[in-house]
Order: sequence, then C-alpha cells, then structure tokens
Amino acid sequence: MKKRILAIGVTVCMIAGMVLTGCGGSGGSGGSSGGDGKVVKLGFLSPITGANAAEGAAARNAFQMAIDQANESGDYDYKIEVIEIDDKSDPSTGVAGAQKIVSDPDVVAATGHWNSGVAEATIPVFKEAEIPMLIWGAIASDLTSKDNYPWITRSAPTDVQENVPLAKAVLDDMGYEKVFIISDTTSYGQGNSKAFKAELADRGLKEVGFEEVQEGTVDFRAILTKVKSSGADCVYWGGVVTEGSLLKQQMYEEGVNALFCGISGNYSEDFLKIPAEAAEGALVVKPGIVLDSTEDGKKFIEDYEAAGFSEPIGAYTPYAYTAAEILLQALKECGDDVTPEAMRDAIANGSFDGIMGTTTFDDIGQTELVAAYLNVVQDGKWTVYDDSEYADGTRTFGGK
Amino acid sequence: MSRFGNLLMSAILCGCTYTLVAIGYCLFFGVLDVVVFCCGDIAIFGAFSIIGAFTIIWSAGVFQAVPTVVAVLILLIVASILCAVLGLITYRISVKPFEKSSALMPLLSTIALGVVIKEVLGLIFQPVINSMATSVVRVDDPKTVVGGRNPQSMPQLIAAGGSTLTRNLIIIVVVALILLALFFFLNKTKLGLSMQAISQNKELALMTGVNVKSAIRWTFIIGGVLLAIGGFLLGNYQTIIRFDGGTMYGTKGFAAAVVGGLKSTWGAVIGGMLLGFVEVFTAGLVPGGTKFQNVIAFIVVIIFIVFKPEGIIGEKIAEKV
Amino acid sequence: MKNKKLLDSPFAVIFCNIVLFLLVYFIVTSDYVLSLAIMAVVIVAILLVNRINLVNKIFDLYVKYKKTALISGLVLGILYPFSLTDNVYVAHIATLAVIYGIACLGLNFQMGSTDMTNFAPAAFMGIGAYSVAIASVKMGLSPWLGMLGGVLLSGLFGFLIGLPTLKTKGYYLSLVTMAIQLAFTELVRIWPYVGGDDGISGIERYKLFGFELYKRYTIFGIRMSPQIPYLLLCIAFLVLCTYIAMRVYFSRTGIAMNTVAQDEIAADCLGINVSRTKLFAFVIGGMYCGLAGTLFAGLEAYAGPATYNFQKSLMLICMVILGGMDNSIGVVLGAFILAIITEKLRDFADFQQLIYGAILVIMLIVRPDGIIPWRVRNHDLITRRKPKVIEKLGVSTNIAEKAELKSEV
Repeated sequence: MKKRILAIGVTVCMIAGMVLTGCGGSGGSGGSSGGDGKVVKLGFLSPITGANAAEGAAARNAFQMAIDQANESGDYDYKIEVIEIDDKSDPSTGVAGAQKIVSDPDVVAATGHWNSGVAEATIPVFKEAEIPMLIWGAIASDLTSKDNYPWITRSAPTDVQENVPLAKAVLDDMGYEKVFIISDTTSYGQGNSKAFKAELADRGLKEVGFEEVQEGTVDFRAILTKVKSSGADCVYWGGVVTEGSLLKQQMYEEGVNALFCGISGNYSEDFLKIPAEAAEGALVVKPGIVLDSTEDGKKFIEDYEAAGFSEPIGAYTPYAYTAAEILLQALKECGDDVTPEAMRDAIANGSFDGIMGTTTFDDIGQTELVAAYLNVVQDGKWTVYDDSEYADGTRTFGGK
Repeated sequence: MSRFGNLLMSAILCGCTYTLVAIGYCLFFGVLDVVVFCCGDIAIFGAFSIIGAFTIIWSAGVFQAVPTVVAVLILLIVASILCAVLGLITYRISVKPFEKSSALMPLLSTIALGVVIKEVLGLIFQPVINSMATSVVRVDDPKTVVGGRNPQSMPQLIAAGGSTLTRNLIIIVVVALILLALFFFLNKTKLGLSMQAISQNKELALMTGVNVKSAIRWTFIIGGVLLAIGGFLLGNYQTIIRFDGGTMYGTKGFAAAVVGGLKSTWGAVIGGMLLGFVEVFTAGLVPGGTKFQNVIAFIVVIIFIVFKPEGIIGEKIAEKV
Repeated sequence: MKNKKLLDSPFAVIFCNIVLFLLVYFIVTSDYVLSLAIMAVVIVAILLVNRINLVNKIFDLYVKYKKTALISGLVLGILYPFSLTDNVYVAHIATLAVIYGIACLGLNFQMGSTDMTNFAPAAFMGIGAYSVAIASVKMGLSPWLGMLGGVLLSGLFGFLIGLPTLKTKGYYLSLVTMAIQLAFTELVRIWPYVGGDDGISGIERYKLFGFELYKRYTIFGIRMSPQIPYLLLCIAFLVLCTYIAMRVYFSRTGIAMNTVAQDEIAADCLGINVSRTKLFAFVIGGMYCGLAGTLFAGLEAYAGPATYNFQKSLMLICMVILGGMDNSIGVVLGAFILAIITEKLRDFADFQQLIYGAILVIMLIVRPDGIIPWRVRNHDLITRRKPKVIEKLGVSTNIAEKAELKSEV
C-alpha cells in the first residue's frame, strides 16, 4: 500500500512539474488550421534536446519566427505551418522524424539538421519521398552532391568553404607557420581538421601537432603541455564553442603564448562565459555578413530579442532564418500551384534575398553565397576583426 | 613549471574531482550494497544550485554586502541542503522500495532517476531562478541565468583575485580536508561507526542496537553534501557546467570507485587518482593519445572487474552459500 | 462448463490474436492523444485482468494450441503491413517496433532468463549494423552476406564478453557490460575506417531474388509505403525468433537458465553446467541483437555511432522491464509499447526524455515485474504429450486436472 501511495505521489509530482513548466511550451504547430483556409506545411529538423540543444533550439526559434512573420504579413493565400522535429543529434531519431514529415501530404519542403551525421541518414528518406530538403546547418562537404541534386540543397557554407578565409588570414596575412590542430571526434571536428590540414598542405606546411578530443572534454591541460613543447605559435580549434571556450581559457591560464583560431561553431555568446581576459584575442571566422551592418540584419536581431527566447542567437541561427526566407520566397514563386516538384525547381534555380545577402545555388545545390568575416574577442565582446584594435596594430595576438 | 609538473598538477586535480564522486558511490554502496548511479547528476545539481543561489543573492545585493568567504559559505550551505534533500528523495523513491528485491533494481531505478534529475534541471532551471532573482532584485546590475540546457558559467568563487595555481592548491587542500573529516567521522563518531557496522553486517548491527534507519538516512544526507561540494569544486575547476555533464562525470567517478574497491573510502581516493593519472598522462605524453582517453578509462575498468573485482583495496569476499 | 469449453478451444486463441491485431493497428495509426489513451487503457486493463490470472490462462492457451496460434498469428502478421497502406511514417514506426522486438527477445535471454543484466545490447546491434555496412559499402558484397556475418560476429562477441564475465557475477557483470557499451561507442567514433562520427551511409538495401524489399509497390491499385515488403521480412524474422525463444524457454536449457538465475550454487549442485548455460545466453542473445542490428541498418541504409549508444541500451532494457522479464510475449509487447510511445511523444520533444525516465521510475516502483510478469512454469503443459505407457495405463499426470476432479468430488 505504501508503495502505491509513493508511486502515486511521484506521478502527481511529475505531472504537476510538467504543468508548472508550461507543458508544450513550444506550442509551435499551432493546432488546427483555421476554417476553410488551405494549409501548406514545411518540415524543420534540429536538435532541440541532447548535446547540441542550445544551437538547435535557437535555430528553431528563428525559423518559427520567420514563418510567423510571413503568416501575419498576409502575403500568402494559405496558412503556412511548421512541423518541428527534434532529431536529438541522433541519426535514427532523425530518420523517424523525417518519415513523419514526408508522410504528411501537405508538406512541400523541409529544412534540417545541424549534425552532418543526422543529415547523412535522412537524405535518402527525403530523396525517396521526393520532398526537397534545404540544409541550414550541417557543413560536411559531401552532403550536397550530383547524386543528391536537385532534391538536396544547402544554404550554409561547407567546412571546406569556411576554412578558406581563415587559412588565408592566419597563414598568409598574419604569417603563422607552426599550427597545432586540436579538434573533437565528431564529424564536425573531423571535417574541419581535414579541411585545415589541406589548407596547410597547399602552402607547403605541416601541422606541428594534431590531437582529437572527445565531445564533452573539459580538461585540456594535458594537451596544452604538448602544445607548449611543440613550440606552436597558433592553435587551431576544429570543434564547437562548448569545448572551445574551455580550451581558450586554459590556454590563458597555462600561459600558452599562441593565437587561438577556429571556425563558426565557436562564434556564440557562450564563448564569452569565460572571463574576459581569458577570452581576449580569440579569432573566429564566421560565415555570412556582419548582421549589424545591414537594416535587415539589425531588424532580425531586434525581432529575435523582442520575442524573448531563452536561447541566445548562435552562429547558425541566422542561417535557419535564411533557410526560412528562401523557402518563403520559393513558395511565392510557385504561386497557387505549390507542390514538392515546383518547390524543388524554385529552390534550385531561384535567387533569394535575405538577411545574409543574395543566395543562389550552384550545380550541386551548394550555396554560392560564401561571404565570411573574421571576429575577434576584444574586452569580453565579439568584435568584427576589421574594426578591432587588432587590425590596426594597437593590440597583438599571442605567438607573435 | 616544467611540463611534467604541469601534467602532475592536472592529474591530481582531475583525480580530486573523480575522487569526490567516487566517495559518494562508496558511501552508498558500503551501507546499502547498492550502486546509486545518479551520483554524477546529484553533483551537477549541486553545481547548478550554486549558480542559481549565486544569481539570486547577487541580485538581492547580499553577495556584495558580505565578505566573499561568508558568501561562498552561504552558497555552499544552500547547495548542501538541496543536495541532501535530493539524496533523501533518491533513497525514498529509488532505493528503499527495492530493499528486498534484486540489487539490480535500484541500479536501474537510479539510472532512470538520473535522467529525470537531468531533464528537470534542463527544463525548470531558467524559469525558476530568473523569476526568483527578479522578485528580490535590489541592485543595479542584477544577474540572470540562461536556459538550463545551455552551458552555464560557474561564478569563479575560489579564484577571486588569485592565480590558477592558488585555485588549484585550494581545491586540493579542500579535498584533502574533506577526506580527513570523512575519515574522522567514519572512525571516531558514533554515527560513522554505526554506518560501518551496517556495512559489515546489517542484521548484527540491528541486533546490537544500531538505529539502521536513521543511519541510512544520514548516509544519504552526508553523501548529498559531499556531492554538492564535489559539484562546486568541479564547477570551479571546469568553469563551465552542462546539465548533462553528470552522466560522464558519474560514470568516470564510478569507474574510479570500482578500481579502488567499492567498499573502501581510501580505495575511492586511490582509484580516483589512478584514473586521473592514467587519463592525463595518456593525453599528455602519447602523441595523438587524447582520443583514447575515455576508451582507456573504460578498459581499465573492464580489466579490474574481471581480474580483481574487489578493487585495489578491498578484501576478497568469500562466497556466501 | 460449456462456457469453459469455448474458452478452451483454438477459436479463443484466434479471437485473442484478432483483438491484439486490432489494438496494435489502432495504436499505431491513430494520432498521439488517442493512441496514448488506448495504450493507457490497455495497460490498465491488463493489470486489472491479471488479478484473476487471466493473462496466464490466455498464455497457457497459446502454448496449448501452438499451431493455431502460430498460423493465425502469421496470417495476421502478413495482413498487418497491408493495412498500413500509404503512410510511410506509420510503416516506419511499425518496422522499428518489430526490430526492437527482436533485440529485446535477445536481451531477455540474458536479463530475463538468466538474470544477468547486459548493458550492452546496443553494442551488439551496432556490430550487426556495421557488418552489413562494411560488407555492402566497403567490400561490395551482398548485404545478406553482411547479415550472416553480422549475426555470427555478434554471437562471437557475445562469447568473448561471456568468457571473462563467467568469473564475475551480479553487479560486476553489469558493470563490465556497461563499460563495454561505452567503450564500443567511443571506439567506433575514433576508428576512421568505419567513418568515425559520420558513420557509413548508402548501405545497399536487401533484395530477395531480384525483388527489392524497400521499394514502393502498387498492389490492387493501392500505392504501398516502401517499407511494407521490408516490414514483412522483419515480421517473419520476429515470428521465427519468438518461436525459437519459446522453444528455448520450454527446453532443458531454458529451465537450466532459470535455475542459474535463481541460485548458481544450487544449479551447480544439480549438475547444470553453469558456465555453458551463461555462455549460451550470451551467445544466443548476442545473435538476436546482432540480427536486429542488421535489420536496422537495412531500414535506415545508415550505420553510425550515435544510433548504438548507451541510451539505446537503456531503452532496450526499459522495454524488457516494461514488458515483463522472462516472458517472450511480454518482452515483445514492451518493445512495441515503448517504441510507439517514443514516436507518439514526438510532439512533446522537450519532455520526451523526462517522460521516459519517469515511466521507468514509476514502473519499477509499481510493478517491477512488468506488464506481463514472469510466470511460474506450468510443467503440466510441457508434458502434455503423455508418455505412451502412462496413457495406456490411463493415469493422468495433469495435476491441475486432478485438483479439478478433487474439487468437483
């Protein structure tokens, strides 16, 4: 009897907890469609729980925000709904979610994935079901290919494309030669370290050391002793912000005199969680354009902040918004006859204006908009490199 | 410091963080013969409650008004109380109902409870803390926390003003003091002795008038406090805490406990240090060895369980028939 | 008495099968509110009905009219995929549930029958899946060869894990398997040959005599989901696996396994080869999980480390506990319920993990034996075919019958 009471108690607590925290807080799908109106659905896949939850949830917020804005604008004769899928960064969860999207007859297009591994697994599903998919965040270079075109397109740059401007700045302009590469063992990290090694090889250089760490590593001190003894003047970090910020901080604490550089996965407010003096001088390349520099970009940031989401804007959040803009403009181009085929052609052949600039796709569905710019942490804030005191020589990076 | 000295320091620190959670496992296993698998999650809960309490008392202006040491003590007390309560809850819903069934049930149940703790933390941390912080706000620069699923930055309470070396030394000294206190408690106080008695023979302890029920309860309270301090030190050492970090932290701590011998507190210390040394030195000395860090830890565990299941310190238990 | 006769006939078995079929059909196809409601009602109903031991009686019927149960089950199993028609998502869930069912049967040999909790079933599945992936993508062989290799390899892996664990027991055994599971995921992740974290994609789908098993077919003018032929294949495997599992359960080895679970030393005294029994459980369980893995790889055409991690192992364990340990039917039921709940809870993405953990915590407190719990072996049924001599003598060996006679007298 006691057991039963206990169990009932636990159950009641759970339910109460859920109600208190606002069960179904996302409430994205918006219930039934209003009356006689036609409904067009778009699928959106991102990791809302799991290791990459922060990045995925921010992207979902931005996507949903774009669709809400479109619905309110009254430019469309139909209501646009989003089917949100949480892929948990797990391929098999992603595949099941993709099946859910393609099984809905109203779905005309989907956009998805932050993890390349998950994208890898769901692409066959979308191809088989003949639903066009636009990748907003996964950057492994082989996701877009001749085989996948035109069903699969991507509005984000690949890992190869992102590493080009960084390598140019660090190796050519700043003249660093002894690079120590550290990456995580995820596909993101592996892709990056491969791409940067290739950049080094192009210049006849070789990395002075290479280490891979597990996702979730918190202690880099052991590796840093290796960095020190290798005499490296530059540390290339090929992973994301979670470990990257810790690496930067420990470099500062252990007195490693070297430049810290990495790619867009590190560009996040989370990087600034570490003390300002430790974060100082981290150099990160970020795809796209400086959002603050354009009207649309400013408006996006304002809108996002006004909506009061709990996740701050991440490196790829603007890309999710861009993906929404592309789909919305493609919908407009299709006119009244919105079908997956029409959407496929509209996406693959169109040119789209958005907060990041004008997006067009090449002959394998990869975006041709590969603007990228350097950011540096200055006084505890992300600053555009060209405007920073590092560019005019007032401050200098480590290792020089 | 030389390269070797650096590695040594990292290894000791790494070992210290593992040791604390390993001691948690040993305490519970010693008294109840069950593996309470959510120790890592309780420690993370402790770290989160320190972040939350810090946000609230900062916003209320208390933190700035009193000396830092006092403020840190307040935070630690709050976290300890919360973790002790969580420890008791763990006992009540995941251990006690299975007193008479197979030892596997509490293992599974605590794993599941760990998931629940983690997820609840991820869901309610931000709304609860932020609403409490805004309701008491008295200062011009109130603090808020980000969503529970985001990485949380730990307020650097130990390092205030000092270098990392001071911080590291403080962590090591604190762990050493805790160990001494624990040793004193287990061997010199009545409660500690009765806990040991239960661990050796529950029936006999019951017969000799030991209050088994209250001793078990105290074990969970003390375990909770230890884990709260563990979470606090871990947070200061790592500077960033993730809500799902408890799984790996707990598993590693558990591995340390197994290596040392699940019944022995000193075993936990040795196991934790050994694991810390193995991890740090493979990462630091073997080229490209970092990626094998975790694998090596698990392989060490497998080898130990198979060939020396009683651990480094630990008596060989004769089979009961 | 007449009423009893009707209950004690092959028709009762067919009726039960049809009810089960309809339930599964409605749970899978309806939207999540309705589906969860039906599921809750069914679970409560089963728990209530179990008070009067009805489930056990039905179970006995199934054993008694094995052939009828098997044939009608097969017919319904073949019909089932066709009822799903065009909904690819539903077909996908259904296939997943069937595959998890096979894996859980395997895990049940270890967890249920022999009482050795194996925390590494997902690692076994991973070995199966990666075998298919390597055979088809890296070596260009037929995926069927990969399947064969996968099943054999995971059997071998089971043997290898089983060997050292013979020395350890209870807790420590679980810990070894836990460490193995964690090490497996990490190893796969850092091994470049198998694609590291990216995994291997583009696995060739299974074909049967040139007949593609994963393709849209149109039958009688109805456009079928592409998974339907594949689902049929999986169901065939599930039926076969359940049959073998039942045979093992009722065999000498099955009883030996239960004895080992109860008391190892007593089993040793009875002349049971404890080591061999344990190894058998590991090997056959490993093979089942490996088979499930190969089917999984065929369904998704992808194998990656994140699919076969510790969480997946926990999920499988959860399924076995939910369904009821050492009960093949219960285990499959548990796998179905949890696989479907996971998918139906998709709309509460944030709460999914929480609900999962909560189900396990509550389930363990309320009903640690599962929905359909372990049952006391009814040895009468095993010896139903009475030895000829006894039959001639007219002696009834059926104790229950005797008891009934007595009470009637």
